[in-house]
Amino acid sequence: MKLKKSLFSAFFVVAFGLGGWASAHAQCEVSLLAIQPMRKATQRVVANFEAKSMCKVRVTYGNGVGTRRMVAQGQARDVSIIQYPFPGAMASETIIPSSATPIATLLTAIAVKKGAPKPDISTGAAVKKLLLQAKAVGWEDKDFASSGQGPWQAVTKLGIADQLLVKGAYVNCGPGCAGISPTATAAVEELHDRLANGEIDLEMNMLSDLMAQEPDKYDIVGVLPREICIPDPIVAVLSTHARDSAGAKALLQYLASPEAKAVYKELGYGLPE
Amino acid sequence: MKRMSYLFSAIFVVTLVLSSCIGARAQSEITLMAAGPMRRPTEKIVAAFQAKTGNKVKVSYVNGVETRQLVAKGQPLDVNLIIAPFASAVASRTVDVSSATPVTSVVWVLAVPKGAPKPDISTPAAVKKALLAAKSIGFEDPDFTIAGQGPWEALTNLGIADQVATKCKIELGPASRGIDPSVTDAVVKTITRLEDGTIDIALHDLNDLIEDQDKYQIVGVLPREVVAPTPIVGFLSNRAKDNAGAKALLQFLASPDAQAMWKEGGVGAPEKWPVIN
Repeated sequence: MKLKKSLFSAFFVVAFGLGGWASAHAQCEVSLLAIQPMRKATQRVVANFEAKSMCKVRVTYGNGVGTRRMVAQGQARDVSIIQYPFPGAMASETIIPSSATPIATLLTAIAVKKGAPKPDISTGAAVKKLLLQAKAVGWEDKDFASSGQGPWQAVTKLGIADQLLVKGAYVNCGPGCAGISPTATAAVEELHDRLANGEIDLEMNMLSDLMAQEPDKYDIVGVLPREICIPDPIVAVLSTHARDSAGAKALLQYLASPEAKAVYKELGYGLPE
Repeated sequence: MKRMSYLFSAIFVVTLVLSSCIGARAQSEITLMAAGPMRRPTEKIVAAFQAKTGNKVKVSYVNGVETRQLVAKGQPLDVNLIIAPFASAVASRTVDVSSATPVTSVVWVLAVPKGAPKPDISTPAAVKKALLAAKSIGFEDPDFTIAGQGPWEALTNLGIADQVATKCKIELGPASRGIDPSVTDAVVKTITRLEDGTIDIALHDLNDLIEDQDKYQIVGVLPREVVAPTPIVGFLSNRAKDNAGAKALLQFLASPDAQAMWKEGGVGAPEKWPVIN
């Protein structure tokens, strides 16, 4: 009888301990809104965070422009990652502006056809000369894709946007034109394919995308100089309604940690500014 | 039998006349894509064109950003009034770039509530000072509406976008449809904030403010160095580039007659496009 009583007590203690742990584990569940162009990096960083903290992170991905629009429309998650500029998100009162923590930047690079000589892009003047000499260049439209922000910044700062368009640049509408036939508009065919088949001489795109997508089709020349293209900041912010604010804060800190930065750097993102 | 034969002949003649009439009408109907915020002056100009030429114009009004996005997606109409910047629309090869005709422009103004002192906005330095001194600034989100393009450009050109971020009241515009006001106060219109005095300054396009200008004060157009008017350019679609009626409409939209009506509607003079240095 005494043995039976001890056994029951032991079971009780173990069950209580396990229950408490499970409850602590369940309590730390954080939602994260992340940007699709950083999916691979986010997956790695979140996995590291979960392993370290025993917190569960539920991630929702939106495209680069989409996440800041979602926040502006009141759909922030406990932690939201948004790409600059984000006036609507910051003023939405659904996030805490003072919590905004720069975690990385999006770098814009130039690529040429595989095997083609790599041109000089060390200065704004060199890039201008290169773009004007090219038969045609390609980039994505900032109206549809966040990867278009950098190229547009560069061509407008150089004062050659209209000139390149009139000359026959290819500007894609990216995810905004999914499902549209290339016979309906020239804005849908993949820029990598146009580069590979010689329709364009140069492609401007996010370094992280170029590194991850089809590097067998092109060579990356390098990142555009800062004088013509300031990297777009990527910022993480806390929601005003975070259910587990300690967990959310811990995730926010981890997203900006040296460990996370090493992952971003490896995958082609810049350091926070 | 003879009577029957007359009847058939009469029906045939009537059918022929009617069908040729419909055919002629279809031939001369021109489709035009225009921006919803410029509806009033567009309607007047189109009516004047129809009266002058006898051509029928069917206008589709879409929001400003959609004018360029629909063209980029391969859905241009015969004549398209597109608000800059329109990189993928031009690159879509669905419009004839050589037909590009600057028609009018979006003019950017600063407004204050009725009765409030009017700040000096004659120079970029004066505008900067006024914006930094304001307790709150209202404008629309450039991610959702054309009306937000100019204000954001002005704040970035002045180098104060981050500095004033926390005192900005941003309106979502058409993207606020269906959103409960308890979720985000970004559903409140900038014009409403201006009318009730909950913002000190509004940065806006003139054509949206001009109709109810007695409810607030339009201080003036922002200096060009702060933000230049945004070009609105007309393009013929590739399939309409040889259509005489479409060409005539495009010319009329940019004509001196039309310019007077654009101006009255709060939109500006044509801005050069393309700009080639």
